[in-house]
Amino acid sequence: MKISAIDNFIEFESGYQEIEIDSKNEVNLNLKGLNKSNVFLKIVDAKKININYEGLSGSDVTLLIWNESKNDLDFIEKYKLLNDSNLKLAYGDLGASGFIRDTFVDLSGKGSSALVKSASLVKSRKHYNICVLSSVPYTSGDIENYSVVLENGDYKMDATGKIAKGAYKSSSHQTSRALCLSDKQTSFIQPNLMIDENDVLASHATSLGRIDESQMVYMQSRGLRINEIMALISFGYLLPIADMIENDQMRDKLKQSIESKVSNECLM
Amino acid sequence: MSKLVIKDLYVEIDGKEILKGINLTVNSNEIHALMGPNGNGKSTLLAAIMGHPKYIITKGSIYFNDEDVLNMSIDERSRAGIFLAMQYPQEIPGVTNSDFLRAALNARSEKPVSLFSFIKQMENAISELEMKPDLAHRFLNEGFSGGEKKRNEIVQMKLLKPEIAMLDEIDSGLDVDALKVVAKNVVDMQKESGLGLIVVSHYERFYELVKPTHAHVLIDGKIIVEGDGELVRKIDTEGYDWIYKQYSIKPVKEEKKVITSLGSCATAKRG
Repeated sequence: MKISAIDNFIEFESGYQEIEIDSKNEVNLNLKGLNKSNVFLKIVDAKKININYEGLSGSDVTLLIWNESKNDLDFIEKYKLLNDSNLKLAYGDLGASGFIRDTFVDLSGKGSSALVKSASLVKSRKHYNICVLSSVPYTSGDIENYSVVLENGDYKMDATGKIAKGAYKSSSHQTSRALCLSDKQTSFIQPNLMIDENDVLASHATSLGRIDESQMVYMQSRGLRINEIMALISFGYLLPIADMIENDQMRDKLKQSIESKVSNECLM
Repeated sequence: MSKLVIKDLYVEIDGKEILKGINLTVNSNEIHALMGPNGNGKSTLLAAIMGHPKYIITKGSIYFNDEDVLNMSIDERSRAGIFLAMQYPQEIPGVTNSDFLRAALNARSEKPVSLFSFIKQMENAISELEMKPDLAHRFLNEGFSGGEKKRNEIVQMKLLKPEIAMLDEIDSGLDVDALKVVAKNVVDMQKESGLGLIVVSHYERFYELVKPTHAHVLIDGKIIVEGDGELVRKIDTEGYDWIYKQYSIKPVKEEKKVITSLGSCATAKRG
């Protein structure tokens, strides 16, 4: 399905589907998850994208947003999950253009769960502000971010897991890792946990830095040059995002595109 | 024929002199046992030959096949044919064993190895080391047991086919059966390719299996006694005391970590 209109209402079908956005303007996406769907949303071009998603009771949706936009992009995304609905939201971005992404996931139905993932290759401004809120009991929110930051990269990750008062038996976990491969870059990760209830599980893990010297020496001692090591480790950071896609052909295509992008950046 | 020649080598770490004039020549087809008490410089010598940046060479030379090794980076040394099986192999999450090894093989050949031939080589090496077939798809050394890490070093050695290999306590962490498997693979490869070996081990059992042609005892940064397989047996039965007496020297005692107080306790009342 190709989209270029401003306002769009889409109910996800069961199974695998592809949506492509190619527009010079602002695009509003009103999305609905009903069943078990696997959606590949590719952004060819756009200026601003507003996503309003509602996951109906019992829906189980995997949505991979793949940003290849040539222009800088603003995202405003709101996801609302009803009882026992499940959302896997993945975002991949390897492009040269920048973005600001504001993502809010409201686990508003009992038993709902969300996994929010991102993988970015950063050589421009890429700012994330992700918040997953457990509003009611028995919900679970996970955030996982991986980025490789190159020269002139400006990476910012503000990740918040929130558990509201009364949302007992909920869990909130997050991991954010940035691998910095240049002296001329800035990377900033802010992990937040805002917990207003006692009977919950929460954790966060953050790492930001260069490749560990001992790891570097070990890999060099097998004959790998420094740029080859950077490429290998970057694949490890970014490739797993492609596993969110059930369609074999599309997954292989994405993996190849990640490999060639990373090789171009690291091995040239 | 390959030749590694070390002359009058002095090495320091963090300003502390560890090696104090090492002379050692290793040719193809020779198996050198490097012995001596812990903390006297065995691992330092191997790491310095490989080129670990922590080890500073203050004097002396290392030549490999008439090339000046000290002018080469670690990866260049590896591609030239020097291999170090490390005492503590690093864990690299996110990078699979097979991707790593394929990249390492491609780094040393002009044409990339064909996927088919690579998979075959890797599967053979894994089964010869009696490891689980899923090894190829696991992240490099991540979550491996001590023994698995050591076997994986030998898997890598078999694929990279060095001319001179150094094994730093490859037998520690291995049970008796695994020790035999590792030794058999090392010996087979040595016989097949004429590999030159430097072996550091504390166990006579491993030396019995690999049968050193030369032996050196390293004490306080110097090679004090040299010999052949007979010397290895003598040290196994008599220890090092006779060497200390005969040459009136003392070994360097391994430094114990000293626990120092931070001065205040985090839970103490703030004044």
